[in-house]
Amino acid sequence: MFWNCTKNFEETNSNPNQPEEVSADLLLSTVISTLANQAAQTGWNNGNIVGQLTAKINFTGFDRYEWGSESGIWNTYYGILPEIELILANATSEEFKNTTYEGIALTMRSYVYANLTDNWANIPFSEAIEATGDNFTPAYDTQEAIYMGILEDLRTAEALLEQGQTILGGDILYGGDTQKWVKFANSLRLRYLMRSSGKIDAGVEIRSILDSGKFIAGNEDNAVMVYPATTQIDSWPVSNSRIGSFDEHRMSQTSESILKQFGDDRLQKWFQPTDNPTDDPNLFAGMKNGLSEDNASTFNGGASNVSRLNQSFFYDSPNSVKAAIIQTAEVHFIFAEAAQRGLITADAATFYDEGVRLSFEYWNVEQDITAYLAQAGVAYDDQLETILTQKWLASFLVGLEAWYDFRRTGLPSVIVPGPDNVNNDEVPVRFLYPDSEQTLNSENYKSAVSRIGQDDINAQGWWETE
Amino acid sequence: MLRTGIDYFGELRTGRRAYSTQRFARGQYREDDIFFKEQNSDFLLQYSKEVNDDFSIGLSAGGNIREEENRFKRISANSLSIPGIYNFANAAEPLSKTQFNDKRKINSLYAFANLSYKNYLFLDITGRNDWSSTLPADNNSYFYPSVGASVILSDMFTLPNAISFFKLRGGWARVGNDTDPYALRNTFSFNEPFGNFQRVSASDVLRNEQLLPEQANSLEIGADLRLFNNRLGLDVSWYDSTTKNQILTLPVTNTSGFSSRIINAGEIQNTGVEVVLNATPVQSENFKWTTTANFTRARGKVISLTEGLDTYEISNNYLSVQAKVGGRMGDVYGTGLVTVEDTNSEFFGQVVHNEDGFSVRDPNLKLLGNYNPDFTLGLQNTFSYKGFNFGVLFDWRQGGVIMSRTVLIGGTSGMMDFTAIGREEGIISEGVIQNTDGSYRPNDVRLSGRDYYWWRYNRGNEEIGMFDASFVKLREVKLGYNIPKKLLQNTFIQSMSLSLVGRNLALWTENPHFDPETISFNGGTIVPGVEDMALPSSRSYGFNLNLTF
Repeated sequence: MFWNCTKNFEETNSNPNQPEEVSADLLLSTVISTLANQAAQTGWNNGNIVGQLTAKINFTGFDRYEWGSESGIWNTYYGILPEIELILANATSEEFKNTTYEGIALTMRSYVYANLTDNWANIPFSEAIEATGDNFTPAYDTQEAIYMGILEDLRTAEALLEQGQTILGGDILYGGDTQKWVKFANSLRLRYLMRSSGKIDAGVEIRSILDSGKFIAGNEDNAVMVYPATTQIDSWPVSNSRIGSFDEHRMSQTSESILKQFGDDRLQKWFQPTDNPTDDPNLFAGMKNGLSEDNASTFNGGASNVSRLNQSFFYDSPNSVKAAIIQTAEVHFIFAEAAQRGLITADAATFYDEGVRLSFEYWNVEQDITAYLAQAGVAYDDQLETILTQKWLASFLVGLEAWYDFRRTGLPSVIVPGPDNVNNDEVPVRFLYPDSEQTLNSENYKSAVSRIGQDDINAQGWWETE
Repeated sequence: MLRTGIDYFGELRTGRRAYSTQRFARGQYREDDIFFKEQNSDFLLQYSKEVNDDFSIGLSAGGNIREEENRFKRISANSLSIPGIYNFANAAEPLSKTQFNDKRKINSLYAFANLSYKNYLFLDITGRNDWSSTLPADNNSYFYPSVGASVILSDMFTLPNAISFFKLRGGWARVGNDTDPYALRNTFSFNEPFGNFQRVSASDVLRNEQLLPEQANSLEIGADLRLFNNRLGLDVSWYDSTTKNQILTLPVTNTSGFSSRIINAGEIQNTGVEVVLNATPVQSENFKWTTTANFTRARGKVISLTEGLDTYEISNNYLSVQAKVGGRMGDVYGTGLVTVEDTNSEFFGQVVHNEDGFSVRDPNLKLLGNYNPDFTLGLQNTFSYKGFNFGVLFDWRQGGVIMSRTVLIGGTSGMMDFTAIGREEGIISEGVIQNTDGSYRPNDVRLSGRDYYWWRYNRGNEEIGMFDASFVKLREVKLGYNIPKKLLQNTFIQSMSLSLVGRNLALWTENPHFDPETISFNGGTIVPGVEDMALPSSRSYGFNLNLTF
């Protein structure tokens, strides 16, 4: 009697709640929504602050370079890689073969690993995401090897996406338009070519992408996600947070000085006048970055005298803020820099002017571009700092791009560590490895640390060392 | 005997948040529907026989089928169109839905034998085999026997008069265990949709199709000795229990593609001793004083984990509870400050600071202690005089450490009393600064009070928040009176007693900020060894009235 009873144990122990197999479209929507959202959140919490586009008036630790591991970012990226690998496995399987899903997966995977290595330097890459193959202690790869891998994957992705196969769905960014994916993949490749241009000969490949015309040339092709805002979950996260948390973010004197000097109307878009009722209703006042809690809360006589960010845009609205992975302004500034440095033969000024115009268009800001571009300090003068100052402004809320460019070039030079910084007046260049790596992958962690000397926020990676 | 029984509960929980609350500005209505059913059907055949005057035997054999079912459903409307109407038709956005059902079935067969000889020698033997649906088909059967014996020496031999009763007992038992349903194969979970896009996520727990049943083997020996006509009694037990093949969800580096995996791991050994001493020092016609002392001491040790693994993080709430091979269960790890390590230096052991006067944190995790006590001792004294009785119970727990997040968070934000020092004049943090040539000089940088405490009590600085968890508590004081029977003779009441009880009346412990008898949570996991914004414990006073009719 009992042996009969164990016969349907198999059925009893089959999970009725969750499937064991899924199609790639359901995974792709998770991947895109997670990564685009993370880019905007990281821009809000970290990128804008270390880039001194905004400043913290409370919980000033990050602004003062009291940095830890930012393990939340590590966990989100390593946490989404399994879904990407599953899409890749599905797209390369006999049954569900699809070159478009394969190309998309390679593109997103390259983006994830680039962010990971740009933040932590040497990280698991070639041996990562192999738990089903029993590898629970992946080795850490060098940043150089990772960059070579990423660039190769993006070239492969371009070729796969050019085949133009249709997909089932799940494409929140482009609705299955493979040409837009080609432009996106190539634009990411431009970003990483420029990043590693100090170490590799990037000019030829940048030129060939320029010649193909297959890059994000207008704002309609941006890799930017709009929040559907049907529920709290698919809205811009800051709009669901406490107002107190929003109030911690303020205008930075660094960006204030440049925006006011140039009469740049993005000032009004991003920030709002001070809360003090006795102030001029059009007074925008910023604060220094990198202050102690004491000095930040008393700066300029107190919080009501320091401009917050534009509340109706960044807090009250669940979907005004768009989550940007990469936009056309950045692409144009990459070409401008490549021309300025002689990596390619092209007219830097044209790309520069177009990049400026496109950034205003992205932010929906009315500005007399001709007059703007005629000003001293804005007018193209064959200086790298001029290009990078505008690129810096255009990187508002785009992940940590401003920080990566500053580490690479030291520009814009207006970024200076704040008076109360705790990192010996140096802008840090990496996050610490998460504590969990010490415990759970200790051998590889130790050898990775010894390769950079010590687990330290000032240890430089490959593309930024001379 | 043949029978079946059902244990069932159903619960509907509703949650309401009003318009303008912080978390749900447009209100929320939520329903949780919970259902649990367990059905046991069993049979038992019994046979007993007095073989002869001295010897008797009892035999039983039986079996049991256990079926357990859980159903959980949660629906929430995370914003409402019209305030105050808590109904799903009033939802202003798509409903959020979660649903999870599970089932498990265990079939068992067992037999036991009880033998007794002259009523002073006893032997019990059992054997049981379970088959569980939650384990893989080729490993879902597990057998576990036990043997126990006891001898009443005071009946078997003629012992000196002082010894009223003396019994020795010993036993060995094995217990097997299965796991939770659906631990064998990975599945995908549903996320909230993103606009019109459905989303799924891969499991971050790697399930295991090769799981084996857990097994615990334990050995226990004890003695029960009573002297002087039961005026003095001593009961001693010693046990040693080893658990093997525990089914653990082991954290792994998330760079592997999973954040944890389910495995059979480990051999954990728990040994302990328990001693109960009771005495009646004074016993006269009207007055009696009894005292009982209960002492326990236990230690858990990690014998092995699994191949290639020598550390397992059991739980984490800033403080990391880790099992390391060769280490003790309950060891806790965290980060602390860098100190001078050169034993020859005059500054050996002092905290190192940077040029700005801030102490330098050591990112390497270090062993900060063990949250288990060295021993616990309970002491109860009861006095009775005529109809009155008075009892006092003390609890003493010695040893163990605890980390206080309240002290850290309160310290870093300036809420704790000790942060009042240095607010006017600033503080120089005690320790040394390392010079560029590697030597040290005493720290002379004056920090503002705010900077000093903000940095020192940072929540990531577990070492600063460690306290000795030893305590003595006055657990209970009770004063009672039994109404004399003759007063109740003509009433329908058979007996009546009144008592006043006070509980948790006093606490003696090292730290003044919190009650060390507390645990914390990280999500749904219990994390011992950490006090996390715990509510203060409270004294209670009560009055009891007992009547029997």
